[in-house]
Amino acid sequence: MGSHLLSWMTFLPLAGAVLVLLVPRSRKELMKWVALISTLPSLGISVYLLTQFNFSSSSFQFVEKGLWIPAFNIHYYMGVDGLSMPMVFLTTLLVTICIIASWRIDTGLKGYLALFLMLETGMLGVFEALDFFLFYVFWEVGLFPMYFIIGIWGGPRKEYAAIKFFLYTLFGSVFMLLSMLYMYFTTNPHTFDLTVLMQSAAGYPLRIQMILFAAFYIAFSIKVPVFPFHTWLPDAHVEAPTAGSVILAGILLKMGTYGLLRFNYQLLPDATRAAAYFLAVMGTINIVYGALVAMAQTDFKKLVAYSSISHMGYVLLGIASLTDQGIIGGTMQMFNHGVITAMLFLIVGVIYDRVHHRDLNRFGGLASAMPLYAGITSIAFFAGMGLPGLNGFISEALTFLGAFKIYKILTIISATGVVLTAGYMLWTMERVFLGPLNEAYKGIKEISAREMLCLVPLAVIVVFLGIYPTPLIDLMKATLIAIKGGVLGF
Amino acid sequence: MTILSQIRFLIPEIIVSAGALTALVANALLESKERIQTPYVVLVSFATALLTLVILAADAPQKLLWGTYMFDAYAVYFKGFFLVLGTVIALLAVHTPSISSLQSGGEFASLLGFSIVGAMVAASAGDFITMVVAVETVSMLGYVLAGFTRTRLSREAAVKYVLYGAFSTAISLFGISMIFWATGQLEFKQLSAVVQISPYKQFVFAGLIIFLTGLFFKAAAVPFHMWSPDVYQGSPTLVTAYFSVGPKAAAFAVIGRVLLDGFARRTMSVDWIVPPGIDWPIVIAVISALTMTVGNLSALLQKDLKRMLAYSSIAHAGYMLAGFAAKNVIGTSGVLYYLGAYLLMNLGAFFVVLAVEETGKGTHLDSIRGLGWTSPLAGATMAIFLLSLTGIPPFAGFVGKLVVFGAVVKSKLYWLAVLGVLNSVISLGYYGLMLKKIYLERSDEQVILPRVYSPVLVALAALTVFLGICFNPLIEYTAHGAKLLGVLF
Repeated sequence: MGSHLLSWMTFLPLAGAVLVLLVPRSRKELMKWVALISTLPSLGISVYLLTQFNFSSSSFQFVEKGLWIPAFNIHYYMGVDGLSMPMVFLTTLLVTICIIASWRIDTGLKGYLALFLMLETGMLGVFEALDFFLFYVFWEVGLFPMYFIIGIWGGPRKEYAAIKFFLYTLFGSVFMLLSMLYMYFTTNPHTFDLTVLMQSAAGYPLRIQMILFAAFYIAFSIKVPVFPFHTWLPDAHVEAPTAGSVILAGILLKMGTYGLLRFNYQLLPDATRAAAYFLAVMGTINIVYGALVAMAQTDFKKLVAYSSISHMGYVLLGIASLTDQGIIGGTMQMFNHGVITAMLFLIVGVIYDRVHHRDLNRFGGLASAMPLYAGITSIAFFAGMGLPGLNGFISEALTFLGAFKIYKILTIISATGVVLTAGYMLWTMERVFLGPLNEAYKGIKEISAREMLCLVPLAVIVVFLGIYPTPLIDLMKATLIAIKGGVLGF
Repeated sequence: MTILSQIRFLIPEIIVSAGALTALVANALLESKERIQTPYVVLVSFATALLTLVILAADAPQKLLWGTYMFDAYAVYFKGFFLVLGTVIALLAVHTPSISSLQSGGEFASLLGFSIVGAMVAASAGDFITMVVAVETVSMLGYVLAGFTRTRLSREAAVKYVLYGAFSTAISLFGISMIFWATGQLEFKQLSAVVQISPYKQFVFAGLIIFLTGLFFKAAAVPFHMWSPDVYQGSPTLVTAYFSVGPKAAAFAVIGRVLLDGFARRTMSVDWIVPPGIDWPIVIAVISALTMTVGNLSALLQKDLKRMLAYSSIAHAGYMLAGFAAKNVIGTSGVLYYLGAYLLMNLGAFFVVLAVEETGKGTHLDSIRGLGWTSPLAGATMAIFLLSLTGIPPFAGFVGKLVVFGAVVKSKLYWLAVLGVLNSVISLGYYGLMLKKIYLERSDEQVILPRVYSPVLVALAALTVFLGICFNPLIEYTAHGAKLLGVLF
């Protein structure tokens, strides 16, 4: 207590952004090093917090609270629990990796790095804020850096993708804003304090809870994204630069499911029970629809983007089951998918940097030219497929285990998603790596040390959590069981 | 209190009037080259007046000159607002080539100074007569300012403004005469008591609506906004920047005081009580809804930056009216806060357009293409202004919307709140278009900002960020100002 570690972790990147802006325009190397070094303290702090975290407690830890706007009783109130801690760690890790992965960005480098660091502050704040107002500010602060990252450093259709991303997310969040204001004014004394609202909001009649639930659901399901709000995702992911896609798929999507658990589940238990089946259905649609569409793609990056839609469906299905295994499996999937999809987008980036296209039908036989690359790719692909021994398997298995108890039919339908996933993943492997080497890529360069540096830590996590998932489960267990208990009313 | 001791509270207005008069005389006497500096006289008078205002504010609230002149926190806030506005405009008048090259800077500054005096008096008006005189002062000077550069467009704008302005004043006066006939009162604070027991409530309500119609013209609220895009586009851009904030805020100051002082009472609760039969909040709510929606949808179709910002300022008037419709202290303090935020972000946006226009690129949407790369400072500050106008945190515009819509939610006008936030999303359509031109497109032409523009833009942007994060002091002062309306003292 009183250590302000969360604040340091959150705002050091912002200070780093200011430092980057002060570096003279010509000193590009220096700029990159400043950016990289300013992400390291946050990564260090998040690792330190992991070691200090009390695994058996379901309450908020490392709490900081101070009065911010007395006129409206708004607090600067931060804290983490078992739900947010893994995401905080993942955020700090992925941003550091993204800076390394962006080493070859040249145009507008200064703005690019500064925006990434600002984005880190916004994302960390979202996972830590315990005051609704503070949460909303962080939630939106994450919005415009991403708009510029996609819009300036993106692919050919970047302008369209960027504004679509911005409009969709803003559309969702304004409903959250109204619900937030409603809760504020109907609580006496007026407060944005989430821990207080968690007690008081449960007292709303079901009808009101359902309206608030719907408003939150629109905000968060656009972010996840849940069918039919997913159409911004393929555009944004495909057009964004590699590091942008990594952050989008690795962190920003998780903000949606995080919001569902933190707000819908913890604030509106009655409505959550009533809507659980609906959530499970949406999860199932995401799993199967995402996998089917992924299968039809010839663009490598688009395929990975649709696979994200499919994989986020597991999160929904798991948490909708309201069983211990389901909710733990779904939440683990948030973390695991974050790691796996980050790898996949980095992998796409590696090959795109070399051949400047992503057409799956024009690759072939790359395994013989780039054996190391093929090796690390197969780890990510197998993890994405849910192969036992890798982390994706654990979360998917737990999800199905929990969901099958409650939704038998939906789980069976969802299970076909696993087959479809294996189908498109293996087919992609075959099209990229197997067969005779395409003549055009004779002299292609093997994956570089810098690129390996980005991928190896993630691969280690994939394998480690596949073999020994206990630390992650223990980290989340107490909190998630408490959340589940709150929804079910015991 | 003797008249002389009451006059003390008029010192800020007197100082500015003296400054404006001096500038006018100086302009006539000086050589044409020396005239460029004359706006500084007015600028100094603004600064001095601001200082005296701060000192006098300690003695507020005061009811002066037989209730015709109120010196309360509400008035002080608006007076400070107008003085800051005047200072910035006067400063840029010296450094904007298209204005300073006319070599009649003293004229410009004195017109501006008298207009600001009118607005300051309007903020204090305690009865209908003072109010009409003050608002007319602002308007009359506006007509001249609109035609200041004497180009064809500028003249057309002036004539249009005169015709619509005269028309709307006539309507307002007609409404006032109806209210006076039915109640025999012109003083707002007395009116609220008389209205309660008036046997002619229907008639008073009709008079109020007609009176408001006139003010809606001045504030450019839909459906009385048709003049404003043409006038905004035709006037010199520096004048347009002033129009979009000054006269509009004066109209808001008056609307707020007439409605909340004259047609509502507040005792212990934070909500105003409206006399039965005079249900103006619903009228304001409908006008607010129309104004924000039509303003935003029309802005989407524009290709000229000045026109786009003109429609955008119509939309913002709509958001602000929603704060009055909520008829609670939070809503009214929200309107005042919103105006403060709007001053920063809207002036900022207009100044960037003006800076680009001064380089000879015109005001077409394409003129800001690649601005973020050719002039990083103008681009970055414009991005802040645009995001703030959209209502994205951590910028001041977000706080303004939050407080106003919060008040609307509090008073259970949910439909208006939903419409308001949806309008914010729509507005991203055209603010985003400008952002896209600035950063997502490229241009090779270098843009050099005129002198003084850089510090002014940086200051406006910094304040936009500051008020988005540390808004407690200002929001407390605006709430303080709102609390005295509808209360007898």
